[in-house]
Amino acid sequence: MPRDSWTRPVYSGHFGRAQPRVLVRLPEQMASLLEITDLKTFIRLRKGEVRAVDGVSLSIEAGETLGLVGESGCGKTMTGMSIVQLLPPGGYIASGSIRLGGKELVGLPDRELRRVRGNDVAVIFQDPMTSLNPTMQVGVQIAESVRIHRGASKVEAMKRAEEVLGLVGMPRPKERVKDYPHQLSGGLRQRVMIAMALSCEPKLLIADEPTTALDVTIQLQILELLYELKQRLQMAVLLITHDMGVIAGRADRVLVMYAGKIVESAQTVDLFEGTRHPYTEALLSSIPRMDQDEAAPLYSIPGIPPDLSHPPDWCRFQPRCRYATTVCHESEPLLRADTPGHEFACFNPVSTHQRLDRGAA
Amino acid sequence: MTTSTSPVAATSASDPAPPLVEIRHLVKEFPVTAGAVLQRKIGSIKAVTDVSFSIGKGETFGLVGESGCGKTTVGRLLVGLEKPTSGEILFEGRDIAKLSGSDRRHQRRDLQLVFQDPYASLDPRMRVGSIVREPLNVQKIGTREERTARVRQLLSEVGLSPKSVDLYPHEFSGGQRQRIGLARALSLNPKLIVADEPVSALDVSIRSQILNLMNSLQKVHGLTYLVISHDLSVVKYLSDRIGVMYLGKLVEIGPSQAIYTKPAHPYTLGLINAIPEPDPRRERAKDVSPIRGELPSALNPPVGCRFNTRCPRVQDVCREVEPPLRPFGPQHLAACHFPLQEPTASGSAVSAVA
Repeated sequence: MPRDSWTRPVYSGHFGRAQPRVLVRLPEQMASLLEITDLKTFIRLRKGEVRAVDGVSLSIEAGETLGLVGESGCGKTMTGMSIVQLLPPGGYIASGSIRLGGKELVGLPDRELRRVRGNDVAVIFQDPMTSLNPTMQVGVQIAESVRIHRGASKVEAMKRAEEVLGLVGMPRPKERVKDYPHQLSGGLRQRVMIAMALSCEPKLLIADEPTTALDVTIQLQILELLYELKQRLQMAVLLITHDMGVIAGRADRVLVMYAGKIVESAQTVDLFEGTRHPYTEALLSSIPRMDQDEAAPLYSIPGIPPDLSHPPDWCRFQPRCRYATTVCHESEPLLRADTPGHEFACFNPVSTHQRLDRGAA
Repeated sequence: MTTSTSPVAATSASDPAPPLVEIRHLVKEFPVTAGAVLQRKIGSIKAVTDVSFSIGKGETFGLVGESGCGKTTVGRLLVGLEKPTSGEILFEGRDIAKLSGSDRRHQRRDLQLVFQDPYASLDPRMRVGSIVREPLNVQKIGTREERTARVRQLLSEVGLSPKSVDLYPHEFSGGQRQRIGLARALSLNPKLIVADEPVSALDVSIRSQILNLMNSLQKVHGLTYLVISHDLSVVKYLSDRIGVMYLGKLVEIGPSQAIYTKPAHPYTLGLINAIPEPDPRRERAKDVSPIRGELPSALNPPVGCRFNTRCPRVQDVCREVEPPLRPFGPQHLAACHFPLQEPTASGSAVSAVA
């Protein structure tokens, strides 16, 4: 196991930057931390091939939080999982490029990928109960990551685990390292998962629905924690969620996905206040808000998303779109921008005059 | 607006009709046993402790709270899936918790439940037609032909095609399955439906369909709802009045608008603040610290106010004395020694039963 140049212990209670990675360097100042170009990830199923991610491009800068939002089946999780190539059975990257710090990840042999995972890119998942090993003490699980990626000894790694557990706000970390996952509540388990993810100080954290399974007061704790840690570690975060409220509060930029494609991309405030894509608009109108008039019915998007094993050659949202015209049934709209930094894929984008009112049927 | 301050009185003082449901001092404890051979009771989970509230006919009452607060147990107690450890559940004036046998079975027609998980609550080996028909069969209502017609009618009412009768649950999406659950719940023409997390398992854009459907069914059938959810925005959208539960106790109860705009209990405020709103400017302007800590064990709930381990306003008395429910406005009560606003009465304890 190649030893990293990690001789100086970083356990002093503050997260200093570790030695530069063997694997990944940022050569030029202008390169993004993560650059995905025209990614296509498909899943081979018996019924056919599902084009789960069908031509997605995105970039994340160091220290940025990019939100990836959409409903189930839109491809957001598959996009995130493609970065670390943790794909389900039958899943494969059909084409496209994923560059982390300038280094191409697609086509990398497994051995090298393993060095990237956990070290340069870490992942936290939705349900910590199924992502943590139920037969191992949590301290051991965190230490395992440290030993594999940093070649630390058992003792060093356990110390590190305790330290990191303290950092993620676990009460009494020295005792808790010995707990098993089932002895912890959902919120504490999520902290363990975050501790595992951050134990090697990754540059990029992929958080896939990190708080969906948690109580809302615990969700706020975890989101605050992630924000603090992100600031401290200068870590970039890919925040994958269906929750527009979480996106509103935590993402710097947002990508909205629908049926395997990105339909809108903008700075967070612009996405919510200057929505251009009809799907984004419809989604926002269907959410009950605390300050709204309850008597008004919520907007419902009619119909269902298309079958991604046979996607149409025209706009995928067309059958459900209020503003659809003939052209929408003829060809696929490409991402374009009227204002810098705000892209949308639509022939009839929402203008400020057309805003769907709350209560419109 | 009623002038009564009891959580039980939902109707105005001049309205002669009693509330449809009256829950009085409801307690449910689940024994915890240990020992491989001789099971001995080592404690009990105090799932619901002294909860009282009422629901008026045609009203939607929402019960909100996080895991372990007891709201689902209250729903199950109401429809008879659990028996209370103590307390009364009055339905149209009769204590239904004490019913048994054929009386119980007959009474079940009036109170139905739509379950939380549309993927687990439908028998995967039964066709949808049989699923919706089952309550009619069990209660022996109508002839065979009448039942068939009723099933068709119910399915179309919830927006499903009559062809659905021959299909299996797995052929439907989550939202459609929830509709099937609603159709099943409506089959006996109940007076009250308990909806436990009716939309939590559904995609965001499907939720609005089900919420709109629930509202329209209520108007058409004059239904009364008890909506249970951890999602305050869903509860607020559907409900006229809301009860906030924490670790088995009702900590605040009142009209939805009052709960949202003027919460009296620090936990309620914490809950409201924790909800991420789809409004970036408001979210970023929020200067609230989250409620610290974790939920204490329901086996050994804290002495005094159960929220004392996490409350930002905690003082010594909170760790010793349980706060009584006090009025803060019409039909608005909260149990706190140091509430966020002044109580309206002299501050003396209000009996929970009128």
